[in-house]
Amino acid sequence: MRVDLPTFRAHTRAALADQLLQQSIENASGNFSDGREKALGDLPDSEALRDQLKLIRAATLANLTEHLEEFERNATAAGVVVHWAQDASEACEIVIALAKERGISQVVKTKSMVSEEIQLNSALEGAGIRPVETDLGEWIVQLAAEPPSHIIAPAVHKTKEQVADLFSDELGRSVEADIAALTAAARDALRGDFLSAQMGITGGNILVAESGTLVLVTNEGNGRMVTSLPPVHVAVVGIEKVVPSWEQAEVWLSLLSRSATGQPLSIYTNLITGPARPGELDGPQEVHLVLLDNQRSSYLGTQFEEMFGCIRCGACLNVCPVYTKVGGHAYRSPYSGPMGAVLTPLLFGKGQFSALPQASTLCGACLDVCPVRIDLPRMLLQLREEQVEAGRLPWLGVWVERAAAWVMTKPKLYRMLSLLARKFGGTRLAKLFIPFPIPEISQQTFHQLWKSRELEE
Amino acid sequence: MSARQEILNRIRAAAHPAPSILPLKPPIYANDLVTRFVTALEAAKGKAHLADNLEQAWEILRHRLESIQARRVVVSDQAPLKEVDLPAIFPEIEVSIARGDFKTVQKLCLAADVGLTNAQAGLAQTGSVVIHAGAGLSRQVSLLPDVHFVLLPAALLVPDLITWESVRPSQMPSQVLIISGPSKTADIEQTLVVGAHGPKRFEVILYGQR
Amino acid sequence: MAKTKVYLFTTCMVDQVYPQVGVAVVRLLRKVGAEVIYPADQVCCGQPFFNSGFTKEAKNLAEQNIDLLQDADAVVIPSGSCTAMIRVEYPKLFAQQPALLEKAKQLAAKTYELTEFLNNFLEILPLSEPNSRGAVTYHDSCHMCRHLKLRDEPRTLLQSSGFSIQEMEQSDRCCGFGGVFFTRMPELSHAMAQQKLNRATESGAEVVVTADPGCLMRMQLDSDGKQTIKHIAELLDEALRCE
Repeated sequence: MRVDLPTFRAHTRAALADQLLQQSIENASGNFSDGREKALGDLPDSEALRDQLKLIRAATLANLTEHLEEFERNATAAGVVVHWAQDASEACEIVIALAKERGISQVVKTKSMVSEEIQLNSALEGAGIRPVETDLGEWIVQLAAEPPSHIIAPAVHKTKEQVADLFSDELGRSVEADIAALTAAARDALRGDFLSAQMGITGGNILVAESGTLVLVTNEGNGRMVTSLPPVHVAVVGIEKVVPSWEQAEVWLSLLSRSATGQPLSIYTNLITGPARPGELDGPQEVHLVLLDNQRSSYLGTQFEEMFGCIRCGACLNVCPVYTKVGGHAYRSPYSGPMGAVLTPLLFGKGQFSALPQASTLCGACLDVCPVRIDLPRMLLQLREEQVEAGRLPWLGVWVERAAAWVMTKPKLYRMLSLLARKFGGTRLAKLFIPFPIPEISQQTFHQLWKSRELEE
Repeated sequence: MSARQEILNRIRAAAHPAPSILPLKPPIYANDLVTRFVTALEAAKGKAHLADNLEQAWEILRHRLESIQARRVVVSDQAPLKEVDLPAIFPEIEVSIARGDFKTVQKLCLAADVGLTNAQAGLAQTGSVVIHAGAGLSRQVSLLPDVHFVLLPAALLVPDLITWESVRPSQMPSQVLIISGPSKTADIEQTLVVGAHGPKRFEVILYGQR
Repeated sequence: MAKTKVYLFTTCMVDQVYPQVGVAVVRLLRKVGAEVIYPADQVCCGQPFFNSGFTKEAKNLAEQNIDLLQDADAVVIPSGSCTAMIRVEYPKLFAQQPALLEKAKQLAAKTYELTEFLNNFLEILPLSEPNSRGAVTYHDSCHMCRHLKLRDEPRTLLQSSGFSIQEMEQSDRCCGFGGVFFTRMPELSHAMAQQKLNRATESGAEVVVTADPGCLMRMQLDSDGKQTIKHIAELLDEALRCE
């Protein structure tokens, strides 16, 4: 996968021409943003809470080893089997081996961005194991064979008519394009999968070191099904999701759903500490946790460490003037919007995704809403600087910028060129060569006007 | 070297001094936790009922079960739910206590239209109940039936998730579930639909004095 | 008492495209009693290069401007974006160079965005009858409202000059300029400007006003001619001349 400037511009043109897409992103981002503002407004002091969460994330990432080891110790004591995966393929292999050893050929899943990151579904299918996505939005994009387009609303780009077509095909009967009916159809269709599945696969929102607990936040109830009914529960979670104490996890949770969906808390906050214990009537017999690195550790201690404080709420997507025009698919990564424009090149290659750091006006709206106050504009700039240094930009543009900067350091030359440009037709000539609209230059520069009679005192 | 070792080595090499975390100023909450609980739960499309005592709670429950025309209720095997003669209180309704092995309990839960459980705490600010897994208990009672009713002593309300820390079990149970309303989704066109995979109706009866 | 020596940093965009904005700024500054000094060797604050990753080039320009402007009592800039560059980014650029850092901080401390500076002189500036002039809608430019936290200042000035403000939806949503962004992502930049202008039209105001030459340019490039888009200095100057 390569997303360079011309490719991204092509994606952009396609997205801008798609009226349905434009309408649906506009609605969704507006709803999410309004909800977020209202939900944070309900808190006694959301700003102080955000400051606190920023410190919590920074302090944890500074000493991640300590917290991961403590998590591992406590989770193991609670009966969780902890696995470590250096990269996507190791993580997929671990999950596949767990399924194969138990003769499992079908798994139920909850929405998980890490699962998208490591392309777990295609790995499972390749190994002959059928993954069933159970989050409504995720099921829709699975049936459409598309990636999710928003980190918390995977099918935000789909209309109810499109969903009705997908469901009718899948279920072999005509399903009405009515949202309640479609939701009911998914409930009926997936109930059987929940009851028969032998393995449930989830991501995880938070890992609490103090007790070895996995926190899983959902609204639909599928997360509870997946972690309560099958005898085996496997969670794949990035190593950065750990937090030392419950006190800190509670601060995190207090901001997560408010920032994501505008809910004070999601409907189900599921705190899982190991498999079912003796005497419990149900719950999984085995819980496995795969701790995924996949490049994360290589950015700790660097200028990009801050990025790994991200709690994946999606608030930055909803206010981004770029994301809200192009949608998630234009980024060709599970992580889109401002957080994706930084995280995607870090995880999947700065060379391959060279357009993404350019896909921003550096307006700063993302920083305004981030519950962790992650300075995304700073890191976008950092990536751009690296691109210049590594020669990843088109040479002509680089040459033009360098030349312009050089002229700017020579005021006399700058003034002379200004006069010359006006003598030889102003912007007309330049317009022949420049592939984007530019304004007419004025007849006189301000330098000239300053010396004119108009401004004499 | 194992993946674990390699990852931990890399992280250890990157460790650096951490910023210190300032303690949060204690937030100021409305005094009336019950009112806040009711408002928040109803905003999340749940429903709350207030009862002065347990007797009255049963009365409200009976009334609610009648009005939603419940026929089968599965009840969590815990006090005070199992200590009263439920068939006598709800003569029209088939009541079963969730006991037995996994499959037996599942059958009961799938056949029931209502699951009835306790909760170990309530969070006023978010209108949530906190339910612990434990020996003799089933997670399916609150999950599989279309309706979930919860009986919660009002005295167990705490202001919010952050203050819940003071009553959080020091040994975490295998599962602690914080439920803040009926299951829902807005995954299609951002339109809220109540009742996704979990219960479509979620009601809490708060009883007793605070 | 000696007049305040205000160094005017017009920005390269005003110099090349909107010199009349510079003229308006000079008149406004003189009205509030400043001695306006225009250092002839000024060119660019360096932001376009800084924002596109040419940090070395941006630092060269920053050093040049730090020298150029060091004798000022105050530096006034009719651009939120360029002001933010000098005030917020210059000190960061020289974080590792103590001597320059000190100078950068000194400059940052006396650099003001135009409306921010003028807000100190509300008793002098045209204080027209409320609503005696037309209705305008104000576009908050990104760096001005987010880096400099200036949201009320331009509105206060507009109102004290008799304009009424009809807010557009999401007045602080980016117009699509973004410096080098408008050259690298022209389609997107255009789409964002269209949305901005649609919202401005929906506000019902006759004039769209901004305090940033970059936004002014982006919006004018996309305006179908029906909309009047002006720099705030031009509007305030109009009010001044009608006094």
